[in-house]
Amino acid sequence: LASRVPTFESVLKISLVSSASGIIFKLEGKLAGPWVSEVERSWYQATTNGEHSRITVDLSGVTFVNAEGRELLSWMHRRGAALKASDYTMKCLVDQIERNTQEQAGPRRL
Amino acid sequence: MSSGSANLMSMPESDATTACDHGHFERCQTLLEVSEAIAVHRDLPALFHDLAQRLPRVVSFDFLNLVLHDAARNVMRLHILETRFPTAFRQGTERPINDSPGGLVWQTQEPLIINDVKAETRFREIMDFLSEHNVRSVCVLPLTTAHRRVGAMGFGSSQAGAYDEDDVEFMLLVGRQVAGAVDNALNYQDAQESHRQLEHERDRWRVLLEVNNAIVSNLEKRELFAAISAALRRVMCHDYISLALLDQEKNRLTLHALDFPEGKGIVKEEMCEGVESSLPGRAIVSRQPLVLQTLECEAARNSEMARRHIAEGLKVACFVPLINRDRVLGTLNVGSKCADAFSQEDVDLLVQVANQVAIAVDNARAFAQIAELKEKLAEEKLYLEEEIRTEHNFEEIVGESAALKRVLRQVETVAPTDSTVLIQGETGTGKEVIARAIHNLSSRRERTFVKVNCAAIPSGLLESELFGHERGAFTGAIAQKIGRFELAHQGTLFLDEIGDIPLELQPKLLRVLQEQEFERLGGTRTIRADVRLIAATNRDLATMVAEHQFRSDLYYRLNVFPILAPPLRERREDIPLLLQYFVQKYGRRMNRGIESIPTETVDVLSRWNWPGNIRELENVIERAVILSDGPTLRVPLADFKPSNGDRHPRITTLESAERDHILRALEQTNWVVGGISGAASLLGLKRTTLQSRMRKLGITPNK
Repeated sequence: LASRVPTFESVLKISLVSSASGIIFKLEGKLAGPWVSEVERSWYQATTNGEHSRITVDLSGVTFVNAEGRELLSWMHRRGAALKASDYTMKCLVDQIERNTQEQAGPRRL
Repeated sequence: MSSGSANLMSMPESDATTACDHGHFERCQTLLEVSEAIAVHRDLPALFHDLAQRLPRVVSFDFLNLVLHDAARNVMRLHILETRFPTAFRQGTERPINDSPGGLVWQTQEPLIINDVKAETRFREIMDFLSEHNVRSVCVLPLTTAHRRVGAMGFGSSQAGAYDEDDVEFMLLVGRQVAGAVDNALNYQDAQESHRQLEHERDRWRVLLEVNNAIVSNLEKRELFAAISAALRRVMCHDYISLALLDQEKNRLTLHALDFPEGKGIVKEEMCEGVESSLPGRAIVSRQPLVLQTLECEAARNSEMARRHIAEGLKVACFVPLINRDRVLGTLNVGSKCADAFSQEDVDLLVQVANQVAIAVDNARAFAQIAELKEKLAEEKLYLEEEIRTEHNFEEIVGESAALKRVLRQVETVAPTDSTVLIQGETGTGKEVIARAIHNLSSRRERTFVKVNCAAIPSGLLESELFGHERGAFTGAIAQKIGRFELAHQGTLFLDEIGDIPLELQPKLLRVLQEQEFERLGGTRTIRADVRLIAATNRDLATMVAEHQFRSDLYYRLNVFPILAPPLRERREDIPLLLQYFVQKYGRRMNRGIESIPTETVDVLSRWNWPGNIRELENVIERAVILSDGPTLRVPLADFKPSNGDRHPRITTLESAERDHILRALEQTNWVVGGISGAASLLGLKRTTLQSRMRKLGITPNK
């Protein structure tokens, strides 16, 4: 998954849905390149304003994740975010992240 | 005779001598005072006022004037008039040289004495005027220096014959000194005027230099106009400045780069108006600056933009055409809330500023065009590189079946037209190959064939993918992006899996198809794209329309020329040819020297139903080539033969068999009932008939 090179259509749409129960980060497109730091920025913007009981990262519209993106998702997961995937590839990625989180704990320096 | 002379005649001789000496002394004294006054006063009115106080001691007069020659207009002009009496004569009054006593004296350089104004036949108008003001006699003296003839100085008295030769002699002495003073004063005035003029010109050149610097250093229009406005404000009273840029295609003007610090927001940027109805349009048509000292004129009433400017409180406006290389690009608009704000000199300066701005606007346009083309080329290059990576070996359509030939005839018919084509067919039947064939046979073949798989792009991104987006259009839109429609300009856009396009996006797609124009996501600029659309789907759009899953208007717009790609089971005679083609293709790629395909293999594969159509066949052959280690193709034929269980199936009830058969069809079609690839089609039934049977047999979709 991470070895594929993002093509010219690389774009990631980040939508935030806030509710009393928490925030949903809906990501659509390719989580790679400059969009990784965009997601990171959005995360900080959304989470610094208040405590949210639950943060979900909806990956059902994500078609590609590179190594940096994967690292960010892992970091978000360690911070308590639930990762939601719908297709097989993304489910695999989420499984790996969840397993790794259980195995190795430690803060990611951003 | 003068009063001084009359007094002398009535005196005894010794007294007369004394009086004469005294008179002479007085005149010398007065001359000295005149010299002192000249030294003190640089200002002519002040000097003549002083002279009018001092000279009556030695010369009798009721008025004293200074008339100067105007070389530019060749007239004599009254410059100063000193009198105790009220008069209607105004400073600045001009007379022709020949019709003025001063003019005669200036011409002849001889003093002129008119002892009786009423008896004088020359200069009738002036004489009548003098008579009316009780002037009886006049003495006029030339004012001449060593360098030039300046004009004349006149004395007037209410007594007839007030001036004699002695007086003239004395006044000529005074005149010589005054001439020098007047010359100096005029030179000083000229120098002052030249200095002022130079300062003025310097200020304006400085403004032009600042405008130039602003143009060179500010790429952003708003900053540029703030800088231009600040520079202009120092030399010209104005409250408002903007650019109206001309869209040649639409013959419209759009307001840009508005700098209006005290504006109420009634006039806004991006406002548009037709050239004919607008005031800047008049400047564009005439190619001349247009100054409207009263904005509320007849023309303004017909213009919405002008009405808004009036509502903002602007009273005066100046519109200067922006012309570069003989091309009108728009206008520079300057407005003021003060009446009579713009002089001709201001307009001249604005023309020079407009010339600079026109170069900047033209350069900015060219730059934007180059940047856009560059970006488009870069996108096109990336797209084509990706196309090359995807390896489309679809140049040849393999097969000779009647079904395929029918499709190819349709392709040949529709390709040269620009009509929209809708290709329908099961998955793997080669819809993209047909689309590429249409493109390659069309007049657009030299341009790009752009493909979009609507099902493969997340629905939230599809709009951006098709139409592009501006930077900041949504979170994550970190740069401007050109959409596939723009990329396919003058080419062909192939929308695969059109049935998967979200309902909310369908109206925008319909608009592009109908009007060939759209806006990028988050953008306001309308973009025109000349695109030929080919759409494809394996879903039954007609059923989707009936079930409100697809807009009917879009469906009818797409379904201009429908082509049905036949499934492989309907062109079985093409299977041997396709086998051969794929064996060669993968044999070459994998460096396998496969020379023969067993007849049994050809027979078995030709009998197979191929639900995945050509794609399935291709994958089977690729696998077979991998497995073949000799010159003969080895296909695991067991996968394509009915199993033993299938050969002798257990006898069940007809109803049970029907139920199982329908279930198998539903499973094979992923529980899709209707449509070309649905279970009803597979079973050769109408959708409604199948649904009725399913109800009867207790088959529900959740099973």
